[in-house]
Amino acid sequence: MRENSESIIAGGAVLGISALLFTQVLPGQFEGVVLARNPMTFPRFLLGLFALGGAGLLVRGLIGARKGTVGMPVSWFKVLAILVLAGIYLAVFAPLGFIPATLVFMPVAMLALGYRNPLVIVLVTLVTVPLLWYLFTEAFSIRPPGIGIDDMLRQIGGGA
Amino acid sequence: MLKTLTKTSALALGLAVSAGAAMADFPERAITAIVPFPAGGSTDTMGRAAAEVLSEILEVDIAVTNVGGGAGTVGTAQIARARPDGYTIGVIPAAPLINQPHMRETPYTIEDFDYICALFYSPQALALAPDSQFSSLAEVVDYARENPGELTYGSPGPGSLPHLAMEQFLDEVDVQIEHVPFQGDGPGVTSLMGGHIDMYMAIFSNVPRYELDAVAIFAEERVEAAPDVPTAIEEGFTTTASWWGGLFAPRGLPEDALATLESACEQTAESDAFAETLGNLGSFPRFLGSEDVRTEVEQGSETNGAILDRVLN
Amino acid sequence: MENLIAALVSLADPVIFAILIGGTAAGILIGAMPGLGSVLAITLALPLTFVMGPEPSIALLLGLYAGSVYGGSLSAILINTPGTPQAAATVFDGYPMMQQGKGDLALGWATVASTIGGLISVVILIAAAPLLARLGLEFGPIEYFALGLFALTCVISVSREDLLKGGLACVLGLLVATIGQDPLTGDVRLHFSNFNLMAGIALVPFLVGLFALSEVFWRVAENVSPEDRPVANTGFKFPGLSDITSRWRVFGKSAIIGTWIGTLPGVGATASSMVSYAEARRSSPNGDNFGKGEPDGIIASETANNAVTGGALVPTLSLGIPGDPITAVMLGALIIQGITPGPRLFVENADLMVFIFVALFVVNLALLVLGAVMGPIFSRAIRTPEPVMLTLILVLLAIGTFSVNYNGFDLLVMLASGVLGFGMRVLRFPLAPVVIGFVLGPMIEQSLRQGLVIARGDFFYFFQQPIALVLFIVSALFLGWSALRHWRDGRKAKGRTNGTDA
Repeated sequence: MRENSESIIAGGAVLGISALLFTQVLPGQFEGVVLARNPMTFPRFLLGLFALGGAGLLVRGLIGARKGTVGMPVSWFKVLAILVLAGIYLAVFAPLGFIPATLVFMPVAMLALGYRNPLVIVLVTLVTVPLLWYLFTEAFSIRPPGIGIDDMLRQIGGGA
Repeated sequence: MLKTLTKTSALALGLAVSAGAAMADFPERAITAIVPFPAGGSTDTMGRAAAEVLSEILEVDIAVTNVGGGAGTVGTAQIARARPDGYTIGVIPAAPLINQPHMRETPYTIEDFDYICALFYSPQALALAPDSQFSSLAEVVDYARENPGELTYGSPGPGSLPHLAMEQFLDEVDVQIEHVPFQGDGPGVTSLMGGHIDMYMAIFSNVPRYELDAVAIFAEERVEAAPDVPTAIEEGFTTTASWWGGLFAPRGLPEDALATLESACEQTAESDAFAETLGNLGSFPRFLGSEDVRTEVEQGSETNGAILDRVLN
Repeated sequence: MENLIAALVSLADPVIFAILIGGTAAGILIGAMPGLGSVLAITLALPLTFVMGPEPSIALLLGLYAGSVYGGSLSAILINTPGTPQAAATVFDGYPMMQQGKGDLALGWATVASTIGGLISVVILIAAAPLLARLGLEFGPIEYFALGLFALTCVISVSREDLLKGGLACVLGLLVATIGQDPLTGDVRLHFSNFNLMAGIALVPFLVGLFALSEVFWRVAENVSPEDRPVANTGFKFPGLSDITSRWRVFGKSAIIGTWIGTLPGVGATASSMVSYAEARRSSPNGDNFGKGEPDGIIASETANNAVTGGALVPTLSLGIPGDPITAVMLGALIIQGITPGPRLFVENADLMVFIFVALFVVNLALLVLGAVMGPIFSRAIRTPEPVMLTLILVLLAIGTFSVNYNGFDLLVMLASGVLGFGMRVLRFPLAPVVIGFVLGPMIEQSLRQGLVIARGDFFYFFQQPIALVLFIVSALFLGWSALRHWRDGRKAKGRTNGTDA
C-alpha cells in the first residue's frame, strides 16, 4: 500500500470514529451547568481534537506529501479465521462456560493456524483445560464460568 | 469431625464435605458472595469478614467474588440476574441500591431483590482540614451562611452515601458548600490533610483510622471510639446519616434458604469475632431482619431520590 | 538497632524465609500472566494471612507485591504484552529489544532495574517516610492536573515515527477513558444507552486486548514461519557492571520519581513509570533511541514501577492512607492482624516496621536471583510452535481477563480492543499512546475539574500554585523543544520508510 493512501484510510477511520462518538455528545440534559460540572465539556474538547487530527491525516494523504510504499501483512485468510474464531470463543466463554468453549476452540484454532500434528493438538488441549481449571479454582480461588471439573467429580462422588 | 477441620483442609476435601453435607437441605454446597466493589475497599473488607463468620455458621465455603465497576452497579446487576437459589448472595452497601438508580438507568430496581438482612453500619462524620478556623459544626454552618459557595467539602465519590448525607444536611440548614468528589477515601483524605479542601464527609471508620479532626458525627448518640466528638443533634441539627449494608439476594429465594441465611446473618451480627473485626475497622454490627431492611431500603431510596433530583440539576 | 537484629533473626527463620521467597516467585508468575496482577496476587494471599502471624504474613504480602510488579515486565518484553498495567511503559523499549534479538539483555536490564528501584525506594522509605508523607500532602487537585499533563508528554517519545498519529492515538485513549461515569458528577456519558458501557471500559481488558490480542492477530497476519523469526538469545543476560554504573543517573532519577509518585494516593505505578519514562527521555543522552529498544527506557519504567512499592508504603504506614488498591488490600491485612498503620505505628510497632523494611530489602534482592532463574524459563516457553503458542495465549487472555471482574462483557471489550489494536497496527498507528491517554485521562480530567471547583472557575488560579506552575513550565518547554527537534529530524530524514513498530 502506498503511504499516502494509508494516510487517507487512517484519516477516514479517525473521522468515522469521531462521527460515531459525536452522536453521544450532542446537546442534551447537561446544558446550563457551570463548566466544571458539565460532563460533556472534556469529551467534546477531545472529540474536536480527534476530528481535527483525522482531517489533518486525510489532507496529508490527499496532498501526497509522503509517497513511499509500506509493507502489509500477507495472510488475510488466517487473520479472518482467527478473528472469527476468537470472536466466537470470547462471546460464548461466559454463557457456555470455560471448559466446553475451550475444548472446542483450542483444536479448531490450532488447525486454522496451520498446525497439523493431531497428537500434539489433542494433548495440548487435554492438558491445558484441566490444568487451567485447577490453577484458577484451587490456587487462585477464582471460578471460571460454567460447570467445572470439580462439579463433575462431585456428581460421580455423590452418586457413589 | 467436620467442625474440627480447618477451612483450608475443608477446601481440599470439598468433595467429601459436600457428599457428607446431608445435614440440612440448605446449604449443601459452596455459596458465592458477590461484593460489587474492588478488593481492598470498605465493602470488601466487610464482605470478607462476614463471609468468614457465615461460612463457619453455615458449614460451607463462601467464595467472595469482587465484581467492581460503575460505582457498584455492575456487581449489583449481576446479583439481581443470578439464579435465586440462595447460592449466590450479595454483600452490598446501600449506595448502589438507593442512590445509583436515581442517577442513571440501572438494569435493576430495589424490587429485584430479596433482602436477607442488614449487617453492618458506620455513622458518618464531618472532618475538618488540620488548620481549620472552625471548631464546631455550628461555626461552619454560620460561616457558610454568610459566605455562600466559599467553602468546599470532599466526598469519596458522586452519589456515594457521604455525598448524599452532606447534601441532605446542607438542605436541612439551607446553606451552600461546594462539593468536590474524589475517587475513594484515600485521595480525598489526603487532600483534606493537605488543606486543599475545607472539610470532608466520611464514614466514621475513617476518623480514628486517619486520625481526622472530626467536628460532628451524624448519629443518634456519640460513638465509643471517639467520645469527644459531639453528634449533630447535640449541636442543634437533626440530620443523621450512616453508611450501612447487608446481605441481599436475587428476588424469589426459596423460603427455607432465606430463613437459614437470615438466622445465620443474625448469629454473625452477634458473634464476637465479627464485632471485633468490624471494631478494628471502625464500624459496628447491626442486624435488621428481612422485612425491616426492605422498609429501610424503600425509605432511603425515596429520600435520596429527592435529594439527587435536586443536586444533579 | 535491637530491632534490626530482631528483624534479621526473624527473617533467618527458615519458614519465614521460605514464605518470602515462595511469595516472590508466585508473585512473578502471577504478574507475568496477562490480566492477573498485583491486586489479585495479594487478595489471594489474604485468607492465608488470617492463620499466620504478622511476620510471615508481611513477608508473604511483600514478596507477592514486589514479585508481581516485576513479573509484568517479563511478558512485556517477551510477548509485547504488559503482564500487569504497571509494565505498560516497559513494552515501549523492551519489545523492540526483543525483536532485535536482545531479549536476554532486555530481561537482564528489567531485572537489575527492578531490584535497584526497589532497593533505593526502601532506603528512601526508611530515611524519609514522614517527610515524604508530608510532601504528598502538598499535592492537591491542581498539582495532580499539572503532573498528569507532564506525564502526557511522554507520548511524544513513543510516537516519533509519526507525531500526528501518536497524538491521535493518545486522544483516542483519553476519549475511551471518558466512556461511562463522569468522575465529578456521576452522570453517565458516551454509553450508547448500553448498561455495560455506562460502567466504563475497564483497564485490564482494554490493555490486554489492545496489546496482547492484537499482537496475536498481527502475528497470524505476518505469517512468518518460526525459522525466519529472530529468536536468538532468548535466555537471560545480566548487563555489564560498567554499563550499569554508567547509567546511574537514569536509575537514581527513576527511583526517586517512582518512590515519590508512589506516595501520592491514587496515581499508581502505571502513571509513575510513564512520568519516569518521559523524564528519562528528556534527560537521557540516549533520548533519541527511546521507543527503538533503548535500555534507558526499560530502566526508567522498571526502576520506577518497582520503586513505587516502597513509595506506596509511605502513606500506607505513616498516615494509614493506602496509595493504591494494592496497598489498600495490604492495609486491610495488617488491620486484621491487629496492627493499625498510622502515625503511631513507628512508635508502637517499631520492631514490625523494621521487619517490613528488612523484608522488603531482601525481597528486592531475591528478584535478582529469581529473575535470572525464571526469565529463561519464560523465554524458552515462547519457543513453542507458533500456532500452539498463539492459541494458548488466547485462552490465557480469556480466562485471565474474565477473572478480574467475572464479567463476560469484559471479554467483548477485550475483543473490540484487539480488533482496534490490529487495525491500528495495519495503519501504523503507535499503540502505546492509547494506553498513556487511557491511564492518565481520568486523573487529568478529574483533577482539572476538581481544581476548577476549588478555584471557583478561575483557571488563572492554577498558575498561582507554585508546584503546579513549575510542572506547567517544564511540560511546555519539553513540548516546544520536542516539536522543534521533531520538525528538524523530519526534514533531515524525509522520505524514509520503516517497518511497523509495535
